[in-house]
Amino acid sequence: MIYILHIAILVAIYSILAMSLDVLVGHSGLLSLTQGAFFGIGAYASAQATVIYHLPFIMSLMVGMIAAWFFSVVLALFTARLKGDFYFIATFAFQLLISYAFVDLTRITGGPLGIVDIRPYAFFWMSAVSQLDFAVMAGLCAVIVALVIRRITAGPLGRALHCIREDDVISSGYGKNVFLLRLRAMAVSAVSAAIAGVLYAHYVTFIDPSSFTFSESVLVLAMVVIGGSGSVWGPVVGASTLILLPELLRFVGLSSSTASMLRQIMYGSALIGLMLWRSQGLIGKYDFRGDDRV
Amino acid sequence: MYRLKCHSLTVSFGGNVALDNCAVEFTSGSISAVIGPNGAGKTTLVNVISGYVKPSNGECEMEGVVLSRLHPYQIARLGIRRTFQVPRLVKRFDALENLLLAFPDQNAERLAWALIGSSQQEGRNRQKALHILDEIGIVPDGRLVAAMSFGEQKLLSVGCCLAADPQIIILDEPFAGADLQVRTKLLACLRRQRINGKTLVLIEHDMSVVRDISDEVAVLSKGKLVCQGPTEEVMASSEVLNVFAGR
Repeated sequence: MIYILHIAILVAIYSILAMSLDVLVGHSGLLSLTQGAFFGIGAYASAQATVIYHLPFIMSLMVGMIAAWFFSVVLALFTARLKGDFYFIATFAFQLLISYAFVDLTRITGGPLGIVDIRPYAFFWMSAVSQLDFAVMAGLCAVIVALVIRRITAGPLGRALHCIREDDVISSGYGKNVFLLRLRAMAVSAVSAAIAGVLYAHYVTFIDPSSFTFSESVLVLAMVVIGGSGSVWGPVVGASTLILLPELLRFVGLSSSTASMLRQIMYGSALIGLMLWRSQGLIGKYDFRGDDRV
Repeated sequence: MYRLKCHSLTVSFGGNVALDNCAVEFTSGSISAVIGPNGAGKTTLVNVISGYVKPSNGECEMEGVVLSRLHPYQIARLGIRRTFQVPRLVKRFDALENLLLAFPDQNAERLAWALIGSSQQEGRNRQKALHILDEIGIVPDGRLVAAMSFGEQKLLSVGCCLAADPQIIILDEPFAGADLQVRTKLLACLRRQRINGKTLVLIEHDMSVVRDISDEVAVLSKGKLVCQGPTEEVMASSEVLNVFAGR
């Protein structure tokens, strides 16, 4: 039971991450590799707020969100004029920069040793003590993030983001500040990823830089690609698939090193297969090959 | 009275001079046509006015505001809206959504408002959008723009300009590729805008349309203004004939 709940918690956390990335990739057309970085920023900021300043969970959650928002603004300012491949490469560089900062800024992040003894999370009177409590809270957070993203993307802001996805020349012709729209999308995405990071840090109670690397960003991107972008359910399906499938390997009786290699092969094969035969992902709205863009 | 004035505009792409010390003025509340052979610099002029191309020399101004220093979105917010030769619309939206997108100053495009604001403005915009669709003769049947005919897309892009209730509407070849039905609807729509006091700038190759609808004409050739004046006067001048005959 504890194992199943652990998987459920991971599915909830990674669903939040995948939904956060979909705000950029699916709704705004900004292919990004920063989710690992914002996941880490949220986790580290919240962990430090708890460990050093002994802030309650809800306050450390706010600290994590504000830290991610700040870095998203910085990233938006530096990438304001970049589009397409250039933006993608810039986000890759940002991810590497933050990854190295997690390792090198030892006074803040604890360096390669990370931060230990992070208090488990608790909302107001609810204190997460059992695995079931953790699962309920993580699920609740995932639902809240999904509802917030749904509300944002279904209204006029979502329409404006879709417009910059299709053609930012039209957006500016309609009097819309494309930079501000992108900034809003990046902020929503970063803050949502930070929420996932905060949940993760307070669930595992120990974080180190290996959890927030470039590979993490690629994994989250693969979740969006596999599940499909442009809806709330696509990223959730992608996250569930990529968390659950490798777990099946445990029951085959393979050694952990072999299972790890097989997992990578599975990711790669799934991505290639989908690009060839179902490039909109399992239940996605948009075609990643770009055939549907006019 | 001039609403929009451009002077000494010079634009070159690489070694190609698209506009060469071009000066042109558009009168308030009238329909002005800009004509000239291919490569005369008509679309470049529109791109400069709407801020998509920055001139290397000269500037455009509207009622004292220098447009050349502004971004396209700032120019659009001042009340200058334009269409493109090939309609630029969000192809996976239907006509109504495209119009809703075109409304200016939408509160719900702000993050805080999107989360906790009311949808009253959206409701009002929806009503206005339905009215505009009726005016341009498009039925809001939920068809995606990608499934609409070229002519309908042209009509819709004019409708998107109207959503902002702009002072100046610039139309880049709105009649090109349009069938008789679309032409009739467009002509009626443009005449109504003139009655409403809008300033319209029309880039057009079809001289029958120019004669039919425009109050004044500016003739461009090789990036320079050849002549500008009342339609009948300009169309009767030998300069126009020379320009189109390549003399």
